[in-house]
Amino acid sequence: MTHWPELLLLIYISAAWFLRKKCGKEIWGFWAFATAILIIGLEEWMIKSNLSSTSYQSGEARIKLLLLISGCAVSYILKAKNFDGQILTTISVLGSLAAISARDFWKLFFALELAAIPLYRELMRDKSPQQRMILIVLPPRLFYALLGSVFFMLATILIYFSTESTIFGEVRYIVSFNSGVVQEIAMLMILFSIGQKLGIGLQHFTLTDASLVKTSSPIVLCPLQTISAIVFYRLTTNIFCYIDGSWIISTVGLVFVLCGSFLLISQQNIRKIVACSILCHMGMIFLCSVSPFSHDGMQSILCIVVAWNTVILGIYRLQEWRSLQNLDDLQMASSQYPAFTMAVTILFLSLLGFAPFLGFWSRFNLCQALLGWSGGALTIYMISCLFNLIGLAKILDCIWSSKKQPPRNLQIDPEFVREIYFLALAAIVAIPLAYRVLNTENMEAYFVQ
Amino acid sequence: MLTNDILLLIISIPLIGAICISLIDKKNFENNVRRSSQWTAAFTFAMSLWLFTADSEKSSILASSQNSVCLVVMTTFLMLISVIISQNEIKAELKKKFYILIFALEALFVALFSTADILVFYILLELIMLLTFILLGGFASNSIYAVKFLIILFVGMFFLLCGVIYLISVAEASEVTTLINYAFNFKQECIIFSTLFIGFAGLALQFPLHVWLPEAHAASPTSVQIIISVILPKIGAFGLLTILLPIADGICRSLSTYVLWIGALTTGYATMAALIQKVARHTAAYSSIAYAGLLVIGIFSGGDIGRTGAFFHMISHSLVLTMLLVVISIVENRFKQLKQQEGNISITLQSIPYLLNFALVPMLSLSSIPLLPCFVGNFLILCGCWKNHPSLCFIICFLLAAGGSHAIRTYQRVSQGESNLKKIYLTKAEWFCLASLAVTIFALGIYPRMLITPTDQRIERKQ
Amino acid sequence: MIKYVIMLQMITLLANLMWQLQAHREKWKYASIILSALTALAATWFMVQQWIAPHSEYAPFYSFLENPSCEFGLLSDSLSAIAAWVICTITAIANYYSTGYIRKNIAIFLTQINSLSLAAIMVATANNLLQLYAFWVILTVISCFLADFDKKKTSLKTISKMANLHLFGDIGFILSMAALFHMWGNLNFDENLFVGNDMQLKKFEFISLLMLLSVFVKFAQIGPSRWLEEAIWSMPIPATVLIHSVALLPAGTILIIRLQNLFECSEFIQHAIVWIGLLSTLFYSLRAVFAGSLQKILAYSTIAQAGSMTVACGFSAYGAAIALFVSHAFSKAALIFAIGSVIHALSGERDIKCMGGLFEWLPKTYIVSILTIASMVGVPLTPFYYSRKILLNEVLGVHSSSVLISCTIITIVFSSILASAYFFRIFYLIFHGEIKLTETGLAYLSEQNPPIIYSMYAAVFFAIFSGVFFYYALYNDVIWADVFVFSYGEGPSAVFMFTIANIAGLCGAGLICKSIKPITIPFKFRLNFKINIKRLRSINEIDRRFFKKFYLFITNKNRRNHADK
Repeated sequence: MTHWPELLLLIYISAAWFLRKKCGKEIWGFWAFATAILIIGLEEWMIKSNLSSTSYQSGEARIKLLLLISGCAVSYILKAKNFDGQILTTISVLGSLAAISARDFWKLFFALELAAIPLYRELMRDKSPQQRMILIVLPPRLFYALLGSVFFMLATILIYFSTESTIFGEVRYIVSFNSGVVQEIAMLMILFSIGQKLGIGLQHFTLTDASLVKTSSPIVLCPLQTISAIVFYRLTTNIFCYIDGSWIISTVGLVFVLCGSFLLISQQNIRKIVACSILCHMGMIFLCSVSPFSHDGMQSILCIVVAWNTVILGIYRLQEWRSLQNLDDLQMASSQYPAFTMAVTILFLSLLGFAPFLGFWSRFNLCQALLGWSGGALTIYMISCLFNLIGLAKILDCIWSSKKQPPRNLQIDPEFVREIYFLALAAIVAIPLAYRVLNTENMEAYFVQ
Repeated sequence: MLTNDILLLIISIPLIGAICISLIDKKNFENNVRRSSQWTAAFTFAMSLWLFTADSEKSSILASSQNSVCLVVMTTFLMLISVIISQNEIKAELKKKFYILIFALEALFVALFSTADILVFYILLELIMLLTFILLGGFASNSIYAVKFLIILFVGMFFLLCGVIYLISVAEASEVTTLINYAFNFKQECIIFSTLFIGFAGLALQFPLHVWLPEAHAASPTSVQIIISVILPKIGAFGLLTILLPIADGICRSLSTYVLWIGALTTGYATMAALIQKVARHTAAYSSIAYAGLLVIGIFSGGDIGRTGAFFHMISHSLVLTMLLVVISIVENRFKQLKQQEGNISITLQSIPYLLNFALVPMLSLSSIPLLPCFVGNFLILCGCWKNHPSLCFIICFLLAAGGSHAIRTYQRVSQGESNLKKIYLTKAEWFCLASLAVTIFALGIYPRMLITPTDQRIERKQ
Repeated sequence: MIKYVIMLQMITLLANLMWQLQAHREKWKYASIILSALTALAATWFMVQQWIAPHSEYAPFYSFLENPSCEFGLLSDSLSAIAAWVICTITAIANYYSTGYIRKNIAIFLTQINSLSLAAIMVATANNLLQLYAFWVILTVISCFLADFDKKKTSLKTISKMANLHLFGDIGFILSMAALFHMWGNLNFDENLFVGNDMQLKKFEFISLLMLLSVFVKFAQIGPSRWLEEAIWSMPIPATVLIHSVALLPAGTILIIRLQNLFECSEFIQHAIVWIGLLSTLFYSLRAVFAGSLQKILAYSTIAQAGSMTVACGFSAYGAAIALFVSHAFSKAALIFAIGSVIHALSGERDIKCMGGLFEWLPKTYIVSILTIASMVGVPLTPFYYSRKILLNEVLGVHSSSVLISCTIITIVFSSILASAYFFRIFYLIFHGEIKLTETGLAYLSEQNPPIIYSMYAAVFFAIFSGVFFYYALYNDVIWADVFVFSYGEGPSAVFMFTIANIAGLCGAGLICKSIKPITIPFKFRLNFKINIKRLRSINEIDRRFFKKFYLFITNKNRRNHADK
């Protein structure tokens, strides 16, 4: 019963590939995801009403739910036409689900690699003539991503040799008594690899040219980003806390925050503004992980991850509609399409952390986590919030200014509008639900295990 | 009917009104929008008057003391007036958005004044800030002012969030009454005071966080002016009075000298700035800042008298300033109708019968003439301040006298000369606004006890 | 009883307001005159009652503030009776006078003067210091409006000067009220107000100084006096009457008498009051002799008389102060009415240089003027004579420093000589001497206006026969209501002194007024607050300039051509 969603997705992938290759038919992955969500919901309900005897870690179920929902959203937006995208999303979600239930470094490695397949696929396509090639064959970013995977593998081997086990529980037990340099290096390499997947995905999202939009879909990386963040957090609070290296992570986090903030102000491209904002949030995740009030940090991370996913989806859809590069392209949107602009505004406000959208709870818990720990980190967070605000206020200002004439005729197809509503609805409606669902008091068992 | 239910009604009526307005279609647009907005605002005001008569002690969810009840009634009244005035000022195609925003804001204000939970207070405050930003961005003549507003207040909000989180984590409760009864030690009170004070100072227009107001005020239409320079500073003062002061009273007493000097600096700077302005709107904005400084002086002066005076002043000054803004807006409307040049304000004023008489009321009020309510508020604040800081009283009196003489001089200058233009009479709506405001102002001035007595009891009980 | 007076006055005011709204009906004019006459009768009746059986009734109406406690209501005692009598009578006469004098906007004018007198009555009958302050300020405000009645360009400066001085003077009042509230808890005028102990002496001194600042602005004493000479002449004549005799000056006297316990606490304060009064009397009497225009002479004479009232209060001679107030009120009113009649006959010409030798054309005004000036100067059998006598008696009976007493006596006598001089000079310059009007001007001269004439007669009647009251009080050594002492004292020396003074004055005036040329004393002491406006403006705009650059930087609006990073 506990692995029904994974099974379902696997069945879908095989069926889709088979039907496409043999019969030329296309199946839309949305329904598979929806069914998987229903299954998990059913399981939860049965456990709550004591109808089922499985001992199930409810934290795990909720994070699986989160991933499935993100996959669902991505596949809804991608549509049946973009078959490649559908398959890649499904593979990514499958890998993520496996990574959630992994209790072992090797399992985690393979699950993450599975989840990163779309990343590799996207990076392989990134062959513009000006780019230089490393080893003649690989584009530079792909090379770095693979390097990260190699590091992960090496680190797992190092851990095996130093602690004679790769299961999380045993490693933690051993490390809590005596942690040597080897384990420290190994953990750092693992964390570097995970973080790198996150970062490269972001970079790819930022720099994808609009002309590639029809064929490649950077939003398939959403599940990967989600799972990277969660796994990072889990490893840091679980195992890494016993190793004396938290200063590295906090420094890296601070650097990310500051870089992201300062880069943000001078950007003109919408995607870049959002990407820098997400970079800031990523830095904050790093800081959260090493703060002693990690319970609050957990909640913050989960909320912000949902928030930024919705924004990425929204931005992607925006740029698919018209190749919107600069801020000026968004002018006059509010007077012609008020509901659309409202929905986009809500998404951005959620990312900024305004109450009562989802992002507010992330800000709330983040402040709670930092308040008792370090005033300096709190100040830097405030500065980064302010810069985020400035950057996103630029976007909002452009959307809502009704003084200038639009450069081109903005035409929206009705399906697009429906999706934006969906995303905005996610940001709003998800508040009480998400806060309940992501209430990490029940999930502590999963994260600290 | 219990206070709870009435309050919930008052919060939901504007929201329902906003939804109804958003559903109005193009057929007979103008009339429908006008009627529905005015009826919603009037109905909300009627409900809030009912609140006055209900017994507020029995409410449990929404903590409405008499403080909050008076503020709720004042807010709904001012919103009614702003809805009436805005009929002629906003362009037809933007009216729908405008009224949706206004009614959403009204519901939020009422909810803010009546909530008992500090986290809910913070969330509502942030929403209010957001909606005001949207309002300013859309309806002020230049969106730079909206961005300025957002940035300055966001910094304050961040500090406020940290303060709220700290309070909740230390006291492990988020109800305001529980927090008041919790005994914090000195270090905790320091942190609470610094964060909450900075948070509220930007809203309450203290120097130097007042800079968002003057240009935003000058660039917006009248209804938005009423919101940003009348209602928002009172929210800041309300936060200081009912949240910061009871929770951190030990440190407030020790630091009161410095806070009072900040208030005096605000008042001094704003009065000096108001004297040199040439445009009526800027003067009104600076007068709002000056009186906000007085509010802080009253709140932190220690003792009951100052706080009572500050509360009374909150309400009376709001009414007076609204009346001034309404008069200025009527004159400017007529400018457009008569197509006069800029600066010929006295001729336009005199071509509108009875307007000079109405303009007299806020002018005299702002000069602290007795039998008008601002005098009572100022006097009580002075009495409260004299006990511990007599030197400050001299400065305040001097500033008030300077402001007063400027007001009288302006009035005289404006009423000079004869007007040859044809007379344009005030419309019924304008008569209603001006007359109701004038009647309320005189009633408060002659019988201030209708507001003061209940407050005393409430504040005493907190001690 | 006093509430009937106030109610009648309010009804008069309402009638005027109604007239304002229905400007074409002339019937309201009669309503106004009759109602104000009824008010005056009621006030007289009230005063007679108080005179027969003096009692003090403290009647609060409603509670204005709770903490500090303050109840608004009416205090009817002898002081309020006499003040109300004077105010109502003069107002009634002024109402009637204005119907003949004012041509345009008469309804608005009557509203304003009736509200002025209502405010003055409320000052006199206030039972609480806060209430007194309320109506004190309202007096100032209404006089600002009256000053602007003709809507001339020059009245702007006048009004700002007046408003500024009064507002800044009232700072002292408010602060002393705040301090007194702290020490005392309430400010009701009952018997045990400010009966304090020695510990609070220093504080009381400081508070009294603050209060005196405000009083001396109202009294237009030696420092803050510039407002009076310009303000009063910018109003029409009936308003000038009220301001001089009724509204502003007695308010100060009433305040000092109500707060006598406070001011008597310290000798220093009392000496200060006396010295300031003496200086004003002397200085302004001298200035009046050499002044060039009618307005200045009238203003300076008022200030000099106010100085004597101040001196009386400083010596705790409240009986003398009241007597001076009553005599000054009626006499000045009559004088100004007479001058108003001349101005009206000359169709609004106010410059004394254009008047001369008018006694053939204005006989009735001539007779009235003689009688009035006789009463102002202090000829025996007129009220001023008796009131100065009461003052001298009180001064001589005080056990205080002899320097002060001798200075006081010398100043009073000298100022009465000078008073004779300048009043007779006015008289001479208007009614005797060369005729300065042209033939055509003379042809238009007439004094056929009945309201003006009859009101003048009424005013002169009161000016002379209010002396009866003091004659009776003086020769019977009356102590009225335990506060006001009228006693005869040493007899012949005072008579001798004053009679000599008056005759000397008259003769001297006759000699000097022909040859004297007006000299303006170049004594201008002004505090200049020049706010450096440019610097303030630039401070104001710092944040605007800074933020604009920041905003442009944020939105990259000045760097559109740069490529994306």
